[in-house]
Amino acid sequence: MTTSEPILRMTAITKRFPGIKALDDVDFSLHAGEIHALLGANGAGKSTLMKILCGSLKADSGEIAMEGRTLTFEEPADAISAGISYVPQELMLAPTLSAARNILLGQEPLRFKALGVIDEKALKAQAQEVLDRLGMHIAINRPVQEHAVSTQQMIAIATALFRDSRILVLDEPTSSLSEAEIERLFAISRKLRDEGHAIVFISHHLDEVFRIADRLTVLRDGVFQGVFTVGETTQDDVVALMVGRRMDAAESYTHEIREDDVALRVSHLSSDGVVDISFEVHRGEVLGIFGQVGSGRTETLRAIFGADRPERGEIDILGERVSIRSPQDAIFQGMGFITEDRKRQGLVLEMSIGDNISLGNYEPVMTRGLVNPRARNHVASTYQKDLQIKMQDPNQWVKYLSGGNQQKVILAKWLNRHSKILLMDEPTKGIDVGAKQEFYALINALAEQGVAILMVSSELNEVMMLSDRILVMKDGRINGEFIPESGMEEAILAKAL
Amino acid sequence: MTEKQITQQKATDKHKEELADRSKWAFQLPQSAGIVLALILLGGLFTFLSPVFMSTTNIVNILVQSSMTIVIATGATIVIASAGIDLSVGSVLALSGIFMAMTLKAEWPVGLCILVGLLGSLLIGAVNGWMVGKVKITPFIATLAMMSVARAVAYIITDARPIYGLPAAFRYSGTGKIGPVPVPGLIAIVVAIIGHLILERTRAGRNTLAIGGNEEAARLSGVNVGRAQIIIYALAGLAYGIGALIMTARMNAAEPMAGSGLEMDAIAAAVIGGTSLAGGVASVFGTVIGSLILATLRNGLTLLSVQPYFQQLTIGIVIVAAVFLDKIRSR
Repeated sequence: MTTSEPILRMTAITKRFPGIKALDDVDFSLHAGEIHALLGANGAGKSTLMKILCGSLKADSGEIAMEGRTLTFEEPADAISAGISYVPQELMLAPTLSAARNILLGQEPLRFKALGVIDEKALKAQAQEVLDRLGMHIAINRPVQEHAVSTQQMIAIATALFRDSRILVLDEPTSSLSEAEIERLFAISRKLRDEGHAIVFISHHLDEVFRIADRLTVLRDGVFQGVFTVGETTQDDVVALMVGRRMDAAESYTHEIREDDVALRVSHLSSDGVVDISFEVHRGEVLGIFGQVGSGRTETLRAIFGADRPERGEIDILGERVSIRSPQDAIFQGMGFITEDRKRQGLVLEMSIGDNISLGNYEPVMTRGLVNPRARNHVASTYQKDLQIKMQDPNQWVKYLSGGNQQKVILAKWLNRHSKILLMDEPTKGIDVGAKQEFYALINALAEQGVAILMVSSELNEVMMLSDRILVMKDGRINGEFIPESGMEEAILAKAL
Repeated sequence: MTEKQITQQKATDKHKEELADRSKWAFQLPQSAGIVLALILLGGLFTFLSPVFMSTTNIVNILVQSSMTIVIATGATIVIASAGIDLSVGSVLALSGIFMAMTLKAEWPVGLCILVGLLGSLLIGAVNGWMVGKVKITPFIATLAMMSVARAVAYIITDARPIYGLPAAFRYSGTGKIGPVPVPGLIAIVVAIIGHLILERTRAGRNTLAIGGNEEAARLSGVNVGRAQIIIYALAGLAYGIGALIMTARMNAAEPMAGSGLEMDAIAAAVIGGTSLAGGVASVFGTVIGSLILATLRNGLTLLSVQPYFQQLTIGIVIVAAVFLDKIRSR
């Protein structure tokens, strides 16, 4: 249900960063009492647009108007006073403070104003009131880091609500949530919408968008593509607008594997979060590991790669027993690891693409004992062509690349090491549709060249499409093994839950 | 917006676009242009305020006085580039000078004495690196501890007495000239060039910047972080030893209380020069300019008869201003 008059109008917003035009003359409008999805591939400009709306960035040109009045924001506090609240994907909560303290952060009720002593009773009462409005019953005195991520999400939303913001911007709110938790989030969003709030919902998950949103706006490469009512458009149409071309129907990949050609054998691996895991990966095989967040998939990969010390377990590579006590050992044995969090574990953001590809691996680009910048850039350019990395120059800092291209830089780093066994943890997380397809093709090509691939993913379709075999993990153990065929989705999912 | 405003806005946008494209790499480099300008302006200011500033003798004076700072600040730059910090600069320098003086007094060959001092400071640096990289003590604490320990050792082995009267061959390193160029100046230039090459073109240097930028990513990419830390702090130690060479030679004495507070100069020069305390971004060239700025400030203020405590105040303000400008620039 939407009213006809927009409460927010962003007009002709343009924003440039060094070498990139992030937003080009973009319009965006929001009605009271609606849930409006903002869609676009990584790098399309969604986050930039919202950061401008929420005051943490300033547009180079364009106008923001709320209820007819033009507004300028010098800093986020201005946007908050205007009634706009932003809940980022990396929830900005103080982990050691309680829920009550977080919700009222900066606006705590005070006793003895001059001394700044907080009125604890009033604080808890006010926090409880907001949480009741959301229908949430949680322990408001425990530090927020002790709550589940989904609860933390709700607390972040409660913070926005306490400010009585008319506009809430939720950036990828569902990425760490289970199905039940997503439903709860949606129920609360609908309630807020019906009360007259406007919610901007940024998400990669189109099926969720089509379930919850009233209208949607699509951006591509910083350019406004159109605004639609959800009932009047289809997912395929939207994807076509996001990507610029129609996607091919997914095909699934399989490879020829020799049973005796075992690249990696893991025996009785146990560590924190992993209980007695044993399996094999063959050369040229894609072994998918599927499971919920917290089922021990990442811990398994980290233990194999030497990033964490396992308590027990043996690893054999190409039939020979090896000892892996550090990432260096693993790399020496021909392994590579594409980590789950590319910004925190995979890349040095303020270093160039060339440097990141050669990270820790300087031999190929050294002449006469010194690193040769030209050789390093040449290597980067070669991978740029092979992997289709969209970049300006090998000297550009990877910070300025989109998620998909950053992921390709990380892949290039391992290809440059000629890794024979590639461990991948959620390799296409946070990557746009087009880049995902490119990645799938790359993974397939690597398998065809004989690389053994161990891929952790929580996207069932992806795992089924790419894998020759799937292991399902639950609570730190392997709970099932499948050779994927269409129709097995429910069986596989059941083993994971 | 009116028609006119829109046209003007479009013109500004185009201008900004051109600027953005042209300066896109500048956003990624420590802003060396800015500090060179600052140095020139500073020189101009003092020339205006004092008739003796812009004389050959004085300029040479500044260069010589900045030589030691350049050398030790280059070492500090490498440490800071790894997101570390080294508070033991002054103490290690003093101890190294004492090693050199003691062996000189024992009439060992001059070359060997210098080597002993350099090896000593390098090994002490390696211990720092071992504490940081293998024992995993945070750099602040590790080097703070070393600062105390090295200083104590300096007092103990000299019985708290300075060592005077060193051979002429040794003093040449501090007071000699090759042509018109003072030897300390040459040493400083060589150290700066080598420091720059290390950071830009060697494995150790690239690893240093990677560790400073994102230690976990570096580790997971195969960098042996523990070993790299040892090398980083050892190199810094070596630099402090070279600084000790210059100071001891110039002063013709090694004393246990030497170098107190030098760590502040070293860090200040690096920070003014654009090296980020958060690690990952560093510029030896910037450090050189930073050292020159500090030396120019001290020299100019002295010529203007400003009292030492006011000098310290001014320098403190300059450091804050430099970091402040750095923050603005990177927004």
